[in-house]
Amino acid sequence: MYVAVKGGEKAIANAHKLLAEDRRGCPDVDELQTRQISEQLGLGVSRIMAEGSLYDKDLCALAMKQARGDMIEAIFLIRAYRTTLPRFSYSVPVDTSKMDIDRRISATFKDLPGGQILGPTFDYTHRLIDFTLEADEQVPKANTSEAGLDDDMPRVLDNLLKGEGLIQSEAVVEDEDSQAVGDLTREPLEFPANRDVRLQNLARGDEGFVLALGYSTQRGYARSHAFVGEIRFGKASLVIEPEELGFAIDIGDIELTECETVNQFQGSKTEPPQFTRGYGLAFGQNERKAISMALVDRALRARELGEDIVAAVQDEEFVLSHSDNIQSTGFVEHIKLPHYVDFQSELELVRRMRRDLEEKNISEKQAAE
Amino acid sequence: MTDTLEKNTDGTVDVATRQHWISVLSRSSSNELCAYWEDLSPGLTYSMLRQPETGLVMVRARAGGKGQRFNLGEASVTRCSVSMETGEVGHGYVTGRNKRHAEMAAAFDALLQNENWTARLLENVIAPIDERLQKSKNERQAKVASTKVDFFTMVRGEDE
Amino acid sequence: MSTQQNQVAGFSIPGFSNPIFDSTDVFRKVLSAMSRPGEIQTIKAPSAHPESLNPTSSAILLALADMETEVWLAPEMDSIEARNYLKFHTGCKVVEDPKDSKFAVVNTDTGIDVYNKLKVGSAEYPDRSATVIMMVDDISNDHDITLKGPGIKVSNTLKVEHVAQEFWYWFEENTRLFPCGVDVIFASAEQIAAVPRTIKVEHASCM
Repeated sequence: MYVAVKGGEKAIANAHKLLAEDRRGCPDVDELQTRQISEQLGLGVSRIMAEGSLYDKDLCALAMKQARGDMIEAIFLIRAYRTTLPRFSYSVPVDTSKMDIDRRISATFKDLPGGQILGPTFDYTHRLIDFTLEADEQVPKANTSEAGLDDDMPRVLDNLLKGEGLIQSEAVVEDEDSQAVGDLTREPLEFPANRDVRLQNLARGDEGFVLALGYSTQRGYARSHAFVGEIRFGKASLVIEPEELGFAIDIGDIELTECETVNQFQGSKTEPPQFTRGYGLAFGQNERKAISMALVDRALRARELGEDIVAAVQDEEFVLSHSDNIQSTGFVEHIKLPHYVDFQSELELVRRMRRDLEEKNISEKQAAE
Repeated sequence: MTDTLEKNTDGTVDVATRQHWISVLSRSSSNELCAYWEDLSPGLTYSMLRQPETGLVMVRARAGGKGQRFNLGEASVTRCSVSMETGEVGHGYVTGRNKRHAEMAAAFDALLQNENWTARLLENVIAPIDERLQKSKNERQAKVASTKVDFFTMVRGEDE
Repeated sequence: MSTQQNQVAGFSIPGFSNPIFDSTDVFRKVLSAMSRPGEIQTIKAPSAHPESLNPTSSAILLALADMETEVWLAPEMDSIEARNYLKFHTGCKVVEDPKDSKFAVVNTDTGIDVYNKLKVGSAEYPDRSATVIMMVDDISNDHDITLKGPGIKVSNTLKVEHVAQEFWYWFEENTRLFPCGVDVIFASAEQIAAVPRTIKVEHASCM
């Protein structure tokens, strides 16, 4: 029997009020300003921008505050917000080779043009808790260098390996403008998925999920022995071409983290042995994500390179269908919501099966006697 | 900037010059532009062609930086278009959600196209903002440059 | 290249004075017109519009078209001014063939061959069909045709000036494709009424 139940409105309204009070925390403590979040918890904001798939620092800081620091909840808020806005246009593809560099390193070439620029990194820190941060400590001032940065910071893989033909080149089709670019926000995911859709999916995919998959390739699942060709973090110009102007305009900077891996490739029937590439790009300062994304992108190129698909990370259905943390959390968490009726029918079923079994046992026993 | 102001044969401003001022206006701040606007002779009015509106631009990138295009994610952008009484149409596009900033950028873009104003505004508004932006960029660069690695080779003592 | 070359007709016509509320209002009116076929809705027109489009069809496109919407303009409705106006405010694509359109803007002189080219959707996606916006001189509830179907209690009467008999024959064929088919919005200078694909039409002269 199906019994519809209704109720709980008052409890729900009160739960939301309690939530609001708890979010604020003890009133004796200063209210957190969104500006403090965007300035002092910038990497968290970066993650919300990348996975919320919306570049807007102030808004992502506000989402983090509203979500009480729950990153996936904040990402959910951002994804919901973006659906309320009209889309004006598509940008001209960002030119990462022209970034204003904040950090740029290569693990494969020591002496690269423009040099190794460490930038603001946790690398080489000792991972010791700094108790002076508990107090209002004096922040050491950053040093400056008169020499400045080189004007030219070429992307490593474009220049250093390509001359010898040792690395796979990134192909651009000739009639590019007539080809549609896959867009997951407009068309549902379909398989097989092209690289454009895979990269979009990974760029907004859950950092933890993409990290774990990237790690799996290093532990031997579809091993492709990756080196970091280059990581760069900095600001790139956002360029659009409004119809009413008829020319391109640069409307501001967006922070991006880019990682390109170099992977060994044994060669196949059609391709000589060479290095192949994996690509990672994310909004904000998101180095772990960019590296992981590059590893997974490379693994997902198995089909194109004629490699055997032997591991989860190479299986695009598996990777792309489970990477989105909003989809994942929606389905995983929904089972906490009332399923009274579903469960009632399960209960009935189990009772009946037990009854059937009992009756069968009795009748067998009687037959045996 | 004003010395090298390029003009087309029909007296209109060269595209590169306009691209430059649009980029400076987009990167400036709302408060900064409002202050400059208030300093101008009062009574300058414009009408709205396209009300300030916040929307999205899908940011595109290329695989490997140079290859196949893909959609990275969106950025919030606010735009506005205005028309001066003298007929110039100005467009403002700014990243983020500040409507006042987009409106001011559009108003300055319109006024900058009026030849009575172009040189004056380039010198008194665009150049100082550009200078401020360059200065902060250079300061940041100098700090970043201090983190550049100087490699030196250790001498190994294997030969003796 | 001059920076002013693009300041041609259309890019300097203002759109809605309050884009959010005005387009919501127009959306509501179109929704009401579609869900109560034959009922006439009055639309608050934008302050200005291109010469070749009337105020209500301009308002409907401003409210409903965006950069993923293909719009076809019949030759009488087509002009550089109209194209630029639509691109400027909605970012939509103006297409050259009615078969590629999501909205086709026509008038009462438009031939049936155009309607026959329009997308009707598929069994899986009946929503991937075109909507006709027909610019007309006048709409009233005088008795010219009788409408019956979902959204109408018993029947509604509708009179649209100068609509050819052939159009209604085509529309009747169109309704047989259900769930596929084309929906039609009649747009006079200030008013709209709609006949979606679900509606049975009886012509007064046929009875």
